[in-house]
Amino acid sequence: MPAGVGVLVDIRKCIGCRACQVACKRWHMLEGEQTELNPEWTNPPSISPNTWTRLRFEEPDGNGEFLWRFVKEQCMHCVDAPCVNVCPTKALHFTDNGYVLYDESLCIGCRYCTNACPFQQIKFDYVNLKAIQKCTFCFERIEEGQEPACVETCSPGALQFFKSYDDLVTEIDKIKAESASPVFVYGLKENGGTRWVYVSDVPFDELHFPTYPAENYGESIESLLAQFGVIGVVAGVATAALYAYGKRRSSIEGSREEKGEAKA
Amino acid sequence: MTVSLDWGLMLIGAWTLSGWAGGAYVTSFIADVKGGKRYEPMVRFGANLAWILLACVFVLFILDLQTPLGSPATALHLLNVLNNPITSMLSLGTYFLLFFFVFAFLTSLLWWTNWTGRLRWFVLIPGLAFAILTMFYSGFAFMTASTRIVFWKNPFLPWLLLTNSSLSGMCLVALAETRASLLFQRFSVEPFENVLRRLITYGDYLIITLILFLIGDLVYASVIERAVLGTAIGTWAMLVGPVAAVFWTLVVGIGLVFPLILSLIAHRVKGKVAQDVGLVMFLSKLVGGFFLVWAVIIAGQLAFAFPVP
Repeated sequence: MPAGVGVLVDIRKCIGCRACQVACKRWHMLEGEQTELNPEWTNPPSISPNTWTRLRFEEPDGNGEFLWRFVKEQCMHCVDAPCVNVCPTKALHFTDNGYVLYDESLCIGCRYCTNACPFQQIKFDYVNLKAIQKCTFCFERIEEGQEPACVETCSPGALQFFKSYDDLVTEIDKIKAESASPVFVYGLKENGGTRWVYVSDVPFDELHFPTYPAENYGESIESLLAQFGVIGVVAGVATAALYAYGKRRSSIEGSREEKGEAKA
Repeated sequence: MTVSLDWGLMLIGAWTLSGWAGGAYVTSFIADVKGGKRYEPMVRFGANLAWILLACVFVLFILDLQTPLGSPATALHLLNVLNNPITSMLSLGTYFLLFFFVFAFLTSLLWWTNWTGRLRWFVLIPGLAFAILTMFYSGFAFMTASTRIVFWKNPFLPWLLLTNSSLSGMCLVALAETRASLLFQRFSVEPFENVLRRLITYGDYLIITLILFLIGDLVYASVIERAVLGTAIGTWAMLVGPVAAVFWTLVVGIGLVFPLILSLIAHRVKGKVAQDVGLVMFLSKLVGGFFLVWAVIIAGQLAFAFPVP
Protein backbone atom coordinates (compact mmCIF):
# COMPACT_ATOMS: atom_id res chain seq x y z
CA MET A 1 0.00 0.00 0.00
CA PRO A 2 1.30 3.49 -0.77
CA ALA A 3 2.39 5.73 2.08
CA GLY A 4 0.68 9.07 2.65
CA VAL A 5 -2.83 10.39 3.00
CA GLY A 6 -6.15 9.35 1.52
CA VAL A 7 -9.84 10.24 1.45
CA LEU A 8 -12.75 7.85 1.48
CA VAL A 9 -15.84 9.00 -0.44
CA ASP A 10 -18.89 7.04 0.64
CA ILE A 11 -21.37 7.62 -2.16
CA ARG A 12 -24.06 5.85 -0.11
CA LYS A 13 -24.00 8.69 2.42
CA CYS A 14 -23.80 11.70 0.10
CA ILE A 15 -27.01 13.78 0.03
CA GLY A 16 -25.99 16.08 -2.84
CA CYS A 17 -25.95 19.31 -0.80
CA ARG A 18 -22.89 20.64 -2.68
CA ALA A 19 -21.43 22.08 0.54
CA CYS A 20 -18.08 20.61 -0.53
CA GLN A 21 -18.19 22.67 -3.73
CA VAL A 22 -18.84 25.84 -1.75
CA ALA A 23 -16.18 25.06 0.86
CA CYS A 24 -13.59 24.51 -1.87
CA LYS A 25 -14.48 27.81 -3.54
CA ARG A 26 -14.33 29.70 -0.25
CA TRP A 27 -11.07 28.23 1.02
CA HIS A 28 -9.20 28.70 -2.24
CA MET A 29 -10.95 32.00 -3.04
CA LEU A 30 -12.01 30.77 -6.47
CA GLU A 31 -14.21 33.06 -8.54
CA GLY A 32 -17.84 32.19 -9.04
CA GLU A 33 -18.93 31.10 -12.49
CA GLN A 34 -21.98 31.51 -14.64
CA THR A 35 -23.90 28.32 -14.07
CA GLU A 36 -26.79 26.74 -15.89
CA LEU A 37 -29.54 24.42 -14.83
CA ASN A 38 -29.53 21.33 -16.96
CA PRO A 39 -31.83 18.30 -16.86
CA GLU A 40 -29.15 16.31 -15.02
CA TRP A 41 -28.89 18.87 -12.18
CA THR A 42 -25.12 18.72 -12.28
CA ASN A 43 -23.91 22.24 -11.87
CA PRO A 44 -21.51 23.71 -13.03
CA PRO A 45 -21.41 21.58 -16.17
CA SER A 46 -17.73 20.74 -15.82
CA ILE A 47 -14.59 21.16 -13.73
CA SER A 48 -12.83 24.40 -14.66
CA PRO A 49 -9.87 26.53 -13.53
CA ASN A 50 -12.25 28.10 -11.00
CA THR A 51 -14.10 24.95 -9.99
CA TRP A 52 -11.81 22.29 -8.58
CA THR A 53 -14.55 20.03 -7.29
CA ARG A 54 -18.19 19.47 -8.13
CA LEU A 55 -20.98 16.99 -7.53
CA ARG A 56 -22.16 14.94 -10.47
CA PHE A 57 -25.79 13.91 -10.23
CA GLU A 58 -26.27 10.39 -11.52
CA GLU A 59 -29.40 8.32 -12.11
CA PRO A 60 -28.28 4.69 -12.08
CA ASP A 61 -30.51 1.76 -12.93
CA GLY A 62 -32.79 1.31 -9.93
CA ASN A 63 -34.74 -1.68 -11.25
CA GLY A 64 -37.64 0.51 -12.29
CA GLU A 65 -37.46 2.79 -9.27
CA PHE A 66 -36.02 6.29 -9.36
CA LEU A 67 -32.54 6.33 -7.90
CA TRP A 68 -30.18 9.26 -7.38
CA ARG A 69 -26.51 9.07 -6.51
CA PHE A 70 -24.08 11.96 -6.13
CA VAL A 71 -20.49 11.61 -7.19
CA LYS A 72 -17.88 14.07 -5.97
CA GLU A 73 -15.35 14.88 -8.68
CA GLN A 74 -11.91 16.33 -8.04
CA CYS A 75 -8.28 15.44 -8.80
CA MET A 76 -7.91 11.83 -7.66
CA HIS A 77 -4.25 12.32 -6.69
CA CYS A 78 -3.23 9.08 -8.41
CA VAL A 79 -0.47 7.10 -6.73
CA ASP A 80 1.48 6.93 -10.03
CA ALA A 81 -0.11 10.01 -11.58
CA PRO A 82 0.23 10.19 -15.38
CA CYS A 83 0.11 13.99 -15.23
CA VAL A 84 3.28 14.06 -13.13
CA ASN A 85 4.94 11.53 -15.40
CA VAL A 86 4.29 13.53 -18.55
CA CYS A 87 4.91 17.09 -17.25
CA PRO A 88 8.00 18.36 -19.09
CA THR A 89 8.91 21.06 -16.55
CA LYS A 90 8.10 19.18 -13.33
CA ALA A 91 5.51 21.84 -12.59
CA LEU A 92 3.39 18.89 -11.47
CA HIS A 93 5.08 16.85 -8.78
CA PHE A 94 4.51 14.38 -5.97
CA THR A 95 5.01 15.28 -2.34
CA ASP A 96 6.02 13.00 0.52
CA ASN A 97 2.43 12.79 1.71
CA GLY A 98 1.29 11.76 -1.76
CA TYR A 99 -0.43 14.98 -2.87
CA VAL A 100 -0.04 15.79 -6.54
CA LEU A 101 0.80 19.49 -6.51
CA TYR A 102 1.86 22.00 -9.15
CA ASP A 103 3.98 25.09 -9.44
CA GLU A 104 2.14 27.61 -11.61
CA SER A 105 5.30 29.52 -12.39
CA LEU A 106 6.82 26.47 -14.09
CA CYS A 107 3.78 25.58 -16.22
CA ILE A 108 4.45 26.29 -19.90
CA GLY A 109 0.90 25.59 -20.99
CA CYS A 110 1.57 22.51 -23.13
CA ARG A 111 -1.55 20.84 -21.69
CA TYR A 112 0.08 17.43 -21.97
CA CYS A 113 -1.17 16.76 -18.43
CA THR A 114 -4.76 17.63 -19.30
CA ASN A 115 -4.68 15.02 -22.04
CA ALA A 116 -2.93 12.50 -19.81
CA CYS A 117 -5.24 12.87 -16.79
CA PRO A 118 -7.47 9.79 -16.76
CA PHE A 119 -10.22 11.64 -14.92
CA GLN A 120 -10.21 14.95 -16.83
CA GLN A 121 -9.63 16.91 -13.64
CA ILE A 122 -6.86 19.29 -14.74
CA LYS A 123 -7.91 22.48 -16.47
CA PHE A 124 -5.87 25.17 -18.13
CA ASP A 125 -6.58 28.80 -17.24
CA TYR A 126 -6.32 30.65 -20.55
CA VAL A 127 -7.68 33.89 -19.11
CA ASN A 128 -5.63 34.88 -16.09
CA LEU A 129 -2.84 32.57 -15.03
CA LYS A 130 -1.88 30.87 -18.32
CA ALA A 131 -1.26 27.81 -16.18
CA ILE A 132 -3.09 24.69 -15.07
CA GLN A 133 -5.41 24.56 -12.07
CA LYS A 134 -6.71 21.64 -10.04
CA CYS A 135 -7.47 20.35 -6.55
CA THR A 136 -4.48 20.71 -4.24
CA PHE A 137 -5.80 18.33 -1.55
CA CYS A 138 -5.83 21.46 0.69
CA PHE A 139 -2.26 20.49 1.57
CA GLU A 140 -1.73 23.71 3.52
CA ARG A 141 -4.62 22.79 5.81
CA ILE A 142 -3.38 19.23 6.28
CA GLU A 143 0.10 20.48 7.16
CA GLU A 144 -1.55 22.57 9.89
CA GLY A 145 -3.31 19.51 11.27
CA GLN A 146 -6.69 20.22 9.67
CA GLU A 147 -8.69 18.26 7.12
CA PRO A 148 -9.32 19.33 3.51
CA ALA A 149 -12.04 22.03 3.35
CA CYS A 150 -14.52 19.78 1.55
CA VAL A 151 -14.06 16.94 4.05
CA GLU A 152 -14.46 19.21 7.05
CA THR A 153 -17.71 20.67 5.74
CA CYS A 154 -19.34 17.36 4.78
CA SER A 155 -22.19 17.05 7.29
CA PRO A 156 -23.49 13.58 6.34
CA GLY A 157 -19.97 12.18 6.79
CA ALA A 158 -19.68 10.99 3.21
CA LEU A 159 -16.09 12.24 3.11
CA GLN A 160 -13.52 10.83 5.51
CA PHE A 161 -9.90 11.94 5.64
CA PHE A 162 -7.13 9.48 6.62
CA LYS A 163 -3.60 10.50 7.49
CA SER A 164 -2.51 6.99 6.55
CA TYR A 165 -3.57 5.18 3.38
CA ASP A 166 -3.40 1.89 5.27
CA ASP A 167 -6.12 3.13 7.64
CA LEU A 168 -8.27 3.98 4.63
CA VAL A 169 -7.91 0.45 3.29
CA THR A 170 -8.73 -1.00 6.73
CA GLU A 171 -11.86 1.16 6.85
CA ILE A 172 -12.96 -0.11 3.44
CA ASP A 173 -12.47 -3.72 4.58
CA LYS A 174 -14.58 -2.92 7.64
CA ILE A 175 -17.37 -1.40 5.52
CA LYS A 176 -17.39 -4.43 3.25
CA ALA A 177 -17.49 -6.83 6.19
CA GLU A 178 -20.30 -4.97 7.95
CA SER A 179 -22.53 -4.33 4.94
CA ALA A 180 -25.34 -6.76 4.24
CA SER A 181 -25.65 -5.62 0.62
CA PRO A 182 -22.84 -5.56 -1.98
CA VAL A 183 -20.33 -2.72 -1.67
CA PHE A 184 -18.38 -1.63 -4.73
CA VAL A 185 -14.96 0.00 -4.41
CA TYR A 186 -13.21 2.30 -6.92
CA GLY A 187 -9.69 3.69 -6.64
CA LEU A 188 -7.67 1.03 -4.86
CA LYS A 189 -6.55 -0.57 -8.10
CA GLU A 190 -7.81 1.55 -11.00
CA ASN A 191 -5.06 3.30 -12.91
CA GLY A 192 -2.52 1.98 -10.42
CA GLY A 193 -4.46 3.31 -7.40
CA THR A 194 -5.77 6.73 -6.37
CA ARG A 195 -5.76 8.62 -3.06
CA TRP A 196 -9.46 9.40 -3.32
CA VAL A 197 -11.19 6.06 -2.99
CA TYR A 198 -14.95 5.61 -3.48
CA VAL A 199 -17.39 3.09 -2.06
CA SER A 200 -20.88 2.69 -3.46
CA ASP A 201 -23.92 0.46 -3.40
CA VAL A 202 -24.23 0.88 -7.16
CA PRO A 203 -21.70 -0.49 -9.69
CA PHE A 204 -19.31 2.24 -10.82
CA ASP A 205 -19.96 1.81 -14.52
CA GLU A 206 -23.55 2.88 -13.82
CA LEU A 207 -22.14 6.02 -12.19
CA HIS A 208 -20.11 6.75 -15.33
CA PHE A 209 -16.72 6.21 -13.70
CA PRO A 210 -14.08 5.60 -16.36
CA THR A 211 -12.83 2.03 -16.54
CA TYR A 212 -9.06 1.72 -16.40
CA PRO A 213 -6.92 -1.33 -15.92
CA ALA A 214 -5.08 -1.85 -12.65
CA GLU A 215 -1.71 -1.34 -14.32
CA ASN A 216 0.03 1.93 -13.55
CA TYR A 217 1.36 4.47 -16.04
CA GLY A 218 4.87 3.00 -16.32
CA GLU A 219 3.66 -0.58 -16.93
CA SER A 220 1.21 0.61 -19.56
CA ILE A 221 3.90 2.53 -21.51
CA GLU A 222 6.36 -0.38 -21.30
CA SER A 223 3.94 -2.79 -22.95
CA LEU A 224 3.15 -0.23 -25.68
CA LEU A 225 6.83 0.30 -26.43
CA ALA A 226 7.37 -3.47 -26.72
CA GLN A 227 4.54 -3.70 -29.27
CA PHE A 228 5.93 -0.68 -31.11
CA GLY A 229 9.29 -2.47 -31.38
CA VAL A 230 7.67 -5.65 -32.72
CA ILE A 231 5.86 -3.67 -35.42
CA GLY A 232 9.14 -1.97 -36.35
CA VAL A 233 10.95 -5.31 -36.67
CA VAL A 234 8.12 -6.81 -38.77
CA ALA A 235 7.96 -3.72 -41.01
CA GLY A 236 11.76 -3.70 -41.36
CA VAL A 237 11.91 -7.40 -42.30
CA ALA A 238 9.04 -6.95 -44.78
CA THR A 239 10.75 -3.95 -46.40
CA ALA A 240 14.08 -5.80 -46.65
CA ALA A 241 12.36 -8.86 -48.14
CA LEU A 242 10.52 -6.73 -50.72
CA TYR A 243 13.73 -4.91 -51.59
CA ALA A 244 15.63 -8.20 -52.02
CA TYR A 245 12.77 -9.60 -54.12
CA GLY A 246 12.78 -6.51 -56.34
CA LYS A 247 16.56 -6.69 -56.79
CA ARG A 248 16.45 -10.39 -57.61
CA ARG A 249 13.62 -9.90 -60.07
CA SER A 250 15.34 -7.03 -61.88
CA SER A 251 18.60 -9.01 -62.08
CA ILE A 252 16.75 -12.05 -63.53
CA GLU A 253 14.99 -9.81 -66.05
CA GLY A 254 18.34 -8.20 -66.88
CA SER A 255 20.02 -11.57 -67.49
CA ARG A 256 17.05 -12.76 -69.64
CA GLU A 257 17.32 -9.63 -71.75
CA GLU A 258 21.06 -10.22 -72.14
CA LYS A 259 20.44 -13.84 -73.21
CA GLY A 260 17.80 -12.66 -75.67
CA GLU A 261 20.18 -10.13 -77.14
CA ALA A 262 22.96 -12.76 -77.37
CA LYS A 263 20.60 -15.17 -79.20
CA ALA A 264 19.55 -12.45 -81.61
CA MET B 1 -19.68 15.06 -19.93
CA THR B 2 -18.63 18.17 -21.84
CA VAL B 3 -16.31 18.19 -24.84
CA SER B 4 -12.77 19.05 -23.85
CA LEU B 5 -10.45 19.71 -26.77
CA ASP B 6 -7.21 20.60 -25.05
CA TRP B 7 -5.21 20.46 -28.25
CA GLY B 8 -6.72 22.62 -30.98
CA LEU B 9 -5.73 23.86 -34.41
CA MET B 10 -2.54 25.67 -33.33
CA LEU B 11 -1.03 22.57 -31.74
CA ILE B 12 -2.25 20.36 -34.57
CA GLY B 13 -0.45 22.78 -36.88
CA ALA B 14 2.68 22.60 -34.72
CA TRP B 15 2.71 18.78 -34.69
CA THR B 16 2.14 18.73 -38.45
CA LEU B 17 4.83 21.27 -39.32
CA SER B 18 7.44 19.60 -37.13
CA GLY B 19 6.77 16.34 -39.01
CA TRP B 20 6.96 18.11 -42.37
CA ALA B 21 10.28 19.66 -41.35
CA GLY B 22 11.66 16.19 -40.58
CA GLY B 23 10.35 14.82 -43.87
CA ALA B 24 11.81 17.72 -45.84
CA TYR B 25 15.22 17.23 -44.24
CA VAL B 26 15.22 13.47 -44.87
CA THR B 27 14.28 14.09 -48.52
CA SER B 28 17.09 16.62 -48.78
CA PHE B 29 19.54 14.12 -47.26
CA ILE B 30 18.52 11.26 -49.58
CA ALA B 31 18.71 13.59 -52.60
CA ASP B 32 22.21 14.62 -51.48
CA VAL B 33 23.36 11.01 -51.08
CA LYS B 34 21.81 9.73 -54.29
CA GLY B 35 22.33 12.62 -56.62
CA GLY B 36 24.72 15.17 -55.15
CA LYS B 37 25.01 18.02 -57.63
CA ARG B 38 22.21 16.66 -59.83
CA TYR B 39 19.56 17.22 -57.17
CA GLU B 40 21.13 20.30 -55.64
CA PRO B 41 17.98 22.46 -55.77
CA MET B 42 16.05 19.76 -53.93
CA VAL B 43 18.79 19.35 -51.34
CA ARG B 44 18.82 23.09 -50.67
CA PHE B 45 15.04 23.41 -50.54
CA GLY B 46 14.78 20.57 -48.04
CA ALA B 47 17.38 21.97 -45.68
CA ASN B 48 15.98 25.50 -45.83
CA LEU B 49 12.39 24.37 -45.41
CA ALA B 50 13.29 22.31 -42.34
CA TRP B 51 14.47 25.14 -40.10
CA ILE B 52 11.89 27.61 -41.45
CA LEU B 53 9.09 25.16 -40.59
CA LEU B 54 10.58 24.56 -37.13
CA ALA B 55 10.63 28.30 -36.51
CA CYS B 56 6.92 28.34 -37.45
CA VAL B 57 6.33 25.55 -34.92
CA PHE B 58 7.73 27.75 -32.16
CA VAL B 59 5.49 30.64 -33.26
CA LEU B 60 2.47 28.31 -33.21
CA PHE B 61 3.32 27.23 -29.65
CA ILE B 62 3.28 30.87 -28.57
CA LEU B 63 0.08 31.65 -30.48
CA ASP B 64 -1.56 28.62 -28.90
CA LEU B 65 -1.16 30.12 -25.44
CA GLN B 66 -3.25 33.10 -26.60
CA THR B 67 -0.63 35.57 -25.44
CA PRO B 68 0.59 38.45 -27.60
CA LEU B 69 2.98 37.05 -30.17
CA GLY B 70 5.52 39.76 -29.49
CA SER B 71 5.89 38.86 -25.84
CA PRO B 72 9.47 37.63 -25.39
CA ALA B 73 8.59 36.48 -21.89
CA THR B 74 6.27 33.83 -23.33
CA ALA B 75 8.93 32.52 -25.66
CA LEU B 76 11.50 32.36 -22.89
CA HIS B 77 9.01 30.75 -20.55
CA LEU B 78 8.43 27.95 -23.07
CA LEU B 79 12.14 27.15 -22.87
CA ASN B 80 11.66 26.28 -19.20
CA VAL B 81 11.54 22.69 -20.39
CA LEU B 82 15.30 22.81 -20.91
CA ASN B 83 15.91 23.65 -17.24
CA ASN B 84 14.63 20.25 -16.18
CA PRO B 85 15.91 16.71 -16.44
CA ILE B 86 14.52 14.72 -19.36
CA THR B 87 11.78 12.68 -17.80
CA SER B 88 8.87 13.26 -20.13
CA MET B 89 8.35 12.53 -23.82
CA LEU B 90 7.56 16.20 -24.26
CA SER B 91 10.87 17.34 -22.76
CA LEU B 92 12.71 14.77 -24.87
CA GLY B 93 10.86 16.09 -27.91
CA THR B 94 11.85 19.65 -27.07
CA TYR B 95 15.51 18.60 -27.25
CA PHE B 96 14.85 16.82 -30.56
CA LEU B 97 13.23 19.95 -31.99
CA LEU B 98 15.99 22.20 -30.69
CA PHE B 99 18.89 20.10 -31.99
CA PHE B 100 17.10 19.45 -35.24
CA PHE B 101 16.62 23.20 -35.70
CA VAL B 102 20.32 23.82 -35.03
CA PHE B 103 21.51 21.12 -37.44
CA ALA B 104 18.99 22.08 -40.14
CA PHE B 105 20.11 25.70 -39.89
CA LEU B 106 23.77 24.65 -40.07
CA THR B 107 22.97 22.56 -43.14
CA SER B 108 21.42 25.60 -44.76
CA LEU B 109 24.49 27.64 -43.86
CA LEU B 110 26.71 25.03 -45.50
CA TRP B 111 24.75 25.33 -48.70
CA TRP B 112 24.68 29.12 -48.62
CA THR B 113 28.44 29.18 -48.25
CA ASN B 114 28.74 26.53 -51.00
CA TRP B 115 30.69 24.26 -48.67
CA THR B 116 30.24 20.81 -50.15
CA GLY B 117 33.30 19.08 -48.71
CA ARG B 118 33.19 15.77 -46.84
CA LEU B 119 33.15 17.50 -43.48
CA ARG B 120 29.52 18.43 -44.12
CA TRP B 121 28.51 14.90 -43.15
CA PHE B 122 29.34 15.80 -39.54
CA VAL B 123 26.38 18.15 -39.78
CA LEU B 124 24.17 16.14 -42.10
CA ILE B 125 24.21 12.81 -40.25
CA PRO B 126 23.27 14.19 -36.81
CA GLY B 127 20.73 16.37 -38.63
CA LEU B 128 19.22 13.25 -40.21
CA ALA B 129 19.10 11.48 -36.84
CA PHE B 130 17.27 14.39 -35.19
CA ALA B 131 14.94 14.72 -38.21
CA ILE B 132 13.88 11.08 -37.84
CA LEU B 133 13.51 11.41 -34.08
CA THR B 134 11.37 14.52 -34.60
CA MET B 135 9.15 12.62 -37.03
CA PHE B 136 8.71 9.81 -34.50
CA TYR B 137 8.19 12.25 -31.67
CA SER B 138 4.58 13.26 -32.36
CA GLY B 139 3.44 9.63 -32.43
CA PHE B 140 5.33 8.86 -29.22
CA ALA B 141 3.99 11.98 -27.54
CA PHE B 142 0.41 10.92 -28.30
CA MET B 143 1.05 7.31 -27.32
CA THR B 144 2.56 8.21 -23.95
CA ALA B 145 -0.17 10.73 -23.07
CA SER B 146 -2.65 7.99 -23.54
CA THR B 147 -4.00 7.22 -20.08
CA ARG B 148 -7.18 9.17 -20.78
CA ILE B 149 -7.14 9.22 -24.56
CA VAL B 150 -6.96 5.49 -25.06
CA PHE B 151 -7.50 5.91 -28.79
CA TRP B 152 -3.89 7.12 -28.97
CA LYS B 153 -2.70 4.12 -27.02
CA ASN B 154 -1.73 2.42 -30.24
CA PRO B 155 1.76 1.09 -31.14
CA PHE B 156 1.07 1.71 -34.84
CA LEU B 157 0.65 5.45 -34.26
CA PRO B 158 4.37 6.45 -34.23
CA TRP B 159 4.96 4.42 -37.40
CA LEU B 160 1.88 5.91 -39.05
CA LEU B 161 2.92 9.47 -38.26
CA LEU B 162 6.54 8.81 -39.23
CA THR B 163 5.42 7.63 -42.68
CA ASN B 164 2.97 10.51 -42.97
CA SER B 165 5.69 13.02 -42.10
CA SER B 166 8.14 11.45 -44.56
CA LEU B 167 5.56 11.59 -47.33
CA SER B 168 4.42 15.13 -46.54
CA GLY B 169 7.98 16.44 -46.22
CA MET B 170 8.89 14.88 -49.53
CA CYS B 171 5.81 16.41 -51.18
CA LEU B 172 6.66 19.81 -49.77
CA VAL B 173 10.17 19.63 -51.21
CA ALA B 174 8.78 18.27 -54.48
CA LEU B 175 6.28 21.13 -54.65
CA ALA B 176 9.00 23.69 -54.03
CA GLU B 177 11.18 21.95 -56.58
CA THR B 178 8.33 21.81 -59.12
CA ARG B 179 7.46 25.46 -58.66
CA ALA B 180 11.08 26.53 -58.81
CA SER B 181 11.75 24.41 -61.86
CA LEU B 182 8.75 25.84 -63.62
CA LEU B 183 9.70 29.40 -62.73
CA PHE B 184 13.48 29.19 -62.97
CA GLN B 185 14.64 26.61 -65.45
CA ARG B 186 18.26 27.19 -64.46
CA PHE B 187 17.63 25.35 -61.15
CA SER B 188 17.27 22.01 -62.88
CA VAL B 189 20.58 20.34 -63.56
CA GLU B 190 18.98 17.03 -64.50
CA PRO B 191 15.96 17.04 -66.83
CA PHE B 192 13.18 17.91 -64.45
CA GLU B 193 10.85 15.21 -65.69
CA ASN B 194 13.26 12.49 -64.53
CA VAL B 195 13.35 13.96 -61.02
CA LEU B 196 9.59 14.25 -61.00
CA ARG B 197 9.06 10.64 -62.03
CA ARG B 198 11.42 9.44 -59.33
CA LEU B 199 9.64 11.51 -56.69
CA ILE B 200 6.26 10.21 -57.82
CA THR B 201 7.51 6.61 -57.56
CA TYR B 202 8.93 7.17 -54.04
CA GLY B 203 5.65 8.87 -53.11
CA ASP B 204 3.69 5.81 -54.26
CA TYR B 205 5.77 3.52 -52.05
CA LEU B 206 5.26 5.82 -49.09
CA ILE B 207 1.50 6.04 -49.70
CA ILE B 208 1.23 2.25 -49.78
CA THR B 209 3.25 2.01 -46.55
CA LEU B 210 1.03 4.70 -45.03
CA ILE B 211 -2.11 2.80 -46.02
CA LEU B 212 -0.73 -0.39 -44.42
CA PHE B 213 0.10 1.41 -41.16
CA LEU B 214 -3.29 3.14 -41.19
CA ILE B 215 -5.02 -0.22 -41.61
CA GLY B 216 -2.83 -1.63 -38.84
CA ASP B 217 -3.71 1.30 -36.58
CA LEU B 218 -7.45 0.93 -37.16
CA VAL B 219 -7.42 -2.86 -36.89
CA TYR B 220 -5.51 -2.62 -33.61
CA ALA B 221 -8.03 -0.09 -32.29
CA SER B 222 -11.16 -1.82 -33.51
CA VAL B 223 -10.21 -5.49 -33.05
CA ILE B 224 -7.45 -5.93 -30.46
CA GLU B 225 -8.54 -3.04 -28.21
CA ARG B 226 -12.24 -3.21 -29.04
CA ALA B 227 -13.13 -3.93 -25.42
CA VAL B 228 -11.76 -0.55 -24.35
CA LEU B 229 -14.65 1.87 -24.61
CA GLY B 230 -12.61 5.01 -25.36
CA THR B 231 -10.79 3.27 -28.20
CA ALA B 232 -14.06 1.98 -29.63
CA ILE B 233 -15.57 5.48 -29.49
CA GLY B 234 -12.43 7.01 -31.06
CA THR B 235 -12.56 4.51 -33.91
CA TRP B 236 -16.25 5.15 -34.32
CA ALA B 237 -15.66 8.95 -34.33
CA MET B 238 -13.01 8.52 -37.01
CA LEU B 239 -14.81 6.04 -39.27
CA VAL B 240 -18.49 6.92 -38.97
CA GLY B 241 -18.79 9.68 -36.36
CA PRO B 242 -18.05 13.42 -36.34
CA VAL B 243 -14.56 13.07 -37.83
CA ALA B 244 -15.64 10.62 -40.55
CA ALA B 245 -16.43 13.23 -43.22
CA VAL B 246 -12.91 14.69 -42.99
CA PHE B 247 -11.30 11.26 -42.68
CA TRP B 248 -12.94 9.69 -45.71
CA THR B 249 -12.88 12.72 -48.02
CA LEU B 250 -9.69 14.59 -47.12
CA VAL B 251 -7.49 11.86 -45.63
CA VAL B 252 -8.48 8.79 -47.65
CA GLY B 253 -9.96 10.40 -50.77
CA ILE B 254 -7.75 13.43 -51.37
CA GLY B 255 -4.67 12.24 -49.47
CA LEU B 256 -4.39 8.57 -50.46
CA VAL B 257 -6.64 7.43 -53.33
CA PHE B 258 -6.53 10.56 -55.51
CA PRO B 259 -2.69 10.75 -55.55
CA LEU B 260 -2.46 7.06 -56.50
CA ILE B 261 -4.84 7.64 -59.44
CA LEU B 262 -2.86 10.74 -60.45
CA SER B 263 0.34 8.74 -60.17
CA LEU B 264 -0.99 6.24 -62.74
CA ILE B 265 -1.78 9.15 -65.05
CA ALA B 266 1.56 10.88 -64.43
CA HIS B 267 3.46 7.78 -65.53
CA ARG B 268 1.60 7.77 -68.85
CA VAL B 269 1.87 11.43 -69.85
CA LYS B 270 4.87 13.62 -70.62
CA GLY B 271 6.08 17.21 -70.49
CA LYS B 272 4.00 20.01 -69.06
CA VAL B 273 0.99 17.75 -68.40
CA ALA B 274 3.15 15.43 -66.27
CA GLN B 275 4.41 18.42 -64.30
CA ASP B 276 0.90 19.70 -63.70
CA VAL B 277 -0.35 16.28 -62.64
CA GLY B 278 2.64 15.93 -60.31
CA LEU B 279 1.96 19.33 -58.79
CA VAL B 280 -1.68 18.48 -58.02
CA MET B 281 -0.60 15.09 -56.69
CA PHE B 282 1.93 16.52 -54.22
CA LEU B 283 -0.56 19.14 -53.11
CA SER B 284 -3.29 16.56 -52.47
CA LYS B 285 -0.87 14.40 -50.47
CA LEU B 286 0.00 17.40 -48.30
CA VAL B 287 -3.67 18.15 -47.66
CA GLY B 288 -4.25 14.51 -46.75
CA GLY B 289 -1.19 14.47 -44.49
CA PHE B 290 -2.34 17.49 -42.51
CA PHE B 291 -5.85 16.15 -42.04
CA LEU B 292 -4.58 12.73 -40.98
CA VAL B 293 -2.88 14.38 -37.99
CA TRP B 294 -6.01 16.47 -37.42
CA ALA B 295 -8.28 13.41 -37.52
CA VAL B 296 -6.09 11.43 -35.08
CA ILE B 297 -5.88 14.29 -32.57
CA ILE B 298 -9.54 15.30 -32.74
CA ALA B 299 -10.97 11.75 -32.77
CA GLY B 300 -8.81 10.88 -29.77
CA GLN B 301 -9.95 13.86 -27.75
CA LEU B 302 -13.58 13.40 -28.76
CA ALA B 303 -13.50 9.81 -27.56
CA PHE B 304 -13.54 10.81 -23.93
CA ALA B 305 -16.16 13.47 -24.41
CA PHE B 306 -18.95 11.10 -25.40
CA PRO B 307 -21.13 9.82 -22.60
CA VAL B 308 -21.03 6.14 -21.86
CA PRO B 309 -23.90 4.47 -23.78
